[in-house]
Amino acid sequence: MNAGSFAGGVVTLDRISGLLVALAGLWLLTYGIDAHVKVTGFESPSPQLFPRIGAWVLLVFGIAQVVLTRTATALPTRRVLGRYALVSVMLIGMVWIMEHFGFVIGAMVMLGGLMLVVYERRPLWLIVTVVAVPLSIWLIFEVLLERPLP
Amino acid sequence: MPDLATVVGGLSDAFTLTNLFYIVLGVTLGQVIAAIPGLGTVMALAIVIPFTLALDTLTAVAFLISISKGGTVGGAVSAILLNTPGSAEAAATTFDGHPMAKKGQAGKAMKYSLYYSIFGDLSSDIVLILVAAPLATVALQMGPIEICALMLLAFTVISGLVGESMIKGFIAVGFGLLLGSVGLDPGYGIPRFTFGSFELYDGIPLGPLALGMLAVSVIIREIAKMKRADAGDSTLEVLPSENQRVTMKELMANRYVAIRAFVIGTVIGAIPGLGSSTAGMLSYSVTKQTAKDPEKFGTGDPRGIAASETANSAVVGANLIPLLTLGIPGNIGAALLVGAFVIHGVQPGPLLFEQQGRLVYGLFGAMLLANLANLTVGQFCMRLWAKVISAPATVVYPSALIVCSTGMYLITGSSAGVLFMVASAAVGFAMISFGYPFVAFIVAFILTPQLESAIVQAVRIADGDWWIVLRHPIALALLVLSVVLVIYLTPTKRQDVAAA
Repeated sequence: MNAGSFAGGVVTLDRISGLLVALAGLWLLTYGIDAHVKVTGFESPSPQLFPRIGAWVLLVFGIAQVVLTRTATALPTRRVLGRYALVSVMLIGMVWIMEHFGFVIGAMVMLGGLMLVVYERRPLWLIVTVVAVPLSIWLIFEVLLERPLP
Repeated sequence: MPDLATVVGGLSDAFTLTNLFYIVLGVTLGQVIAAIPGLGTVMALAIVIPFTLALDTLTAVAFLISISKGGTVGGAVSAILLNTPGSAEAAATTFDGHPMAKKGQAGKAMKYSLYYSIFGDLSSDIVLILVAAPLATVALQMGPIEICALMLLAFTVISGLVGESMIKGFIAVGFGLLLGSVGLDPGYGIPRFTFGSFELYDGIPLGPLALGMLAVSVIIREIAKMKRADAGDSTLEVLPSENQRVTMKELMANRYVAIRAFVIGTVIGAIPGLGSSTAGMLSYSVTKQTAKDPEKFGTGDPRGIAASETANSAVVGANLIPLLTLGIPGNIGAALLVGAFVIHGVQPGPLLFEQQGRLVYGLFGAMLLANLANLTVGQFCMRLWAKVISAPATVVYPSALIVCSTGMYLITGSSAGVLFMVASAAVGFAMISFGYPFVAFIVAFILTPQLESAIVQAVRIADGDWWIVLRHPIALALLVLSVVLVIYLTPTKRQDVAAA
């Protein structure tokens, strides 16, 4: 985003994120804290005091960001966001594979998948890394240090 | 002040075989990981914290501080060879380190960086050892009202100095305070935001959060940004170098530059929120501006390396001054160190010298040993790191992600931990993308228990009389200073961004 976006009144990502932060603070102050921090009313100071301080910080500075922001953040491209989501999903998938087939198989599948995602296509690099890294980790922790892995 | 027996006993505690092993391992890991562009010291710390759970407190902290120290040396390797700093603090080293490498003196540049780095690090450690205990004694005079004011000042400084906007810094602080307040409240033991989960009664654990936000989010982002054309690229191009020796005469020729850089690094390190990158840049800039022949800088002048490396390394020891005396971490590395202390049941702050004096002096002993290890490992292995880090990014990043997932599993003992890590990484990615500074968040998250206890005590002391602060001149001065800093720092930030 260029410097022209700094002019007052322009909707920037920073103003949007400031608004979301302020709304989060407002939600916490009006509902969230009461719902998730149950007090009898006789405590002094209240256990709600500190979360309320945090929520007020979000509300006040969220509004300040909407009104006073002088920065203009640009979001990563759709491609980067998509690939980020893909790797996150792959990590979750690795958890499932590890639970069902064990650490070594899960890590090998994950590592191979990740290397393909980053466009590694050299067979030797792929095979050596996919076999050596998970086995090394397994040997160090499971065998040498006796720390249980899935 | 600790007695002599505590000091000697503590220093000798560092000299066990186990500690020596972990110090050498930490320095080696720090040098290697910080040398790889895109990884860096903070990521190394976040990754290894889970593995320190099984160690005793001194060994764990010595291991982590050794990684920090190794990182200051390792970051210079790729700065010199590739013109890309392995870690941000070595950015100024590229200005003269890389031109020197292009002249065929890469080995010499790396040795300059190693020796000046060790000098800065060791000197600031000595300052830390000399001033920490007296400062802690002064800090003990502070009551909860002063501590509240001091932490407010720390948040203001950190919010104002890091990131692109002070407002975003304060939002990150608010977010850290909220997440830090999850669990049982310190006054009455009432659960807060636990959603019925007993596992959250102790709060959100720092290790998984830091691993997800500081390490995994950055690794996944790097993976996401990679393009087909990057595949197979080495992260480093190793350049040929000859005539590698650096003589004592050559080192001493830059002694005044190094001493000034050490002073700059130590002062900046002692101020929360600044850090090694600022110290390196400022020192380089001052050295160039005050030189009789500034035109030589940027062409491979050893003074440039001396200025940058001495200053950025001097930050490591000085950073522990506010941490050990006030309990306030100055940067993410120090914050993670606090996390390691807390995991082992130790709360940094002025009472640390009274209650855990032996541990503190054990840490000081470990720091001195780590400098020696850093010098030795660097002396023999820097050329080797140049080979090691030439591994392609297509191998480094996926492997690092597997190591992080393993660490996460080991911390939590369940696969749910890996899912928590992925969620933390997503939050971290959003923070990076929207420009909310990590350091403000992590420092606030870590300081929350201490701040909340101080607030609870201050509220009880005040008993509704808010004017009580007028009867506490130190607290009043700290609060006024916070307000002045808000006024002073905010417009500067705006101008900087607008100018950019």
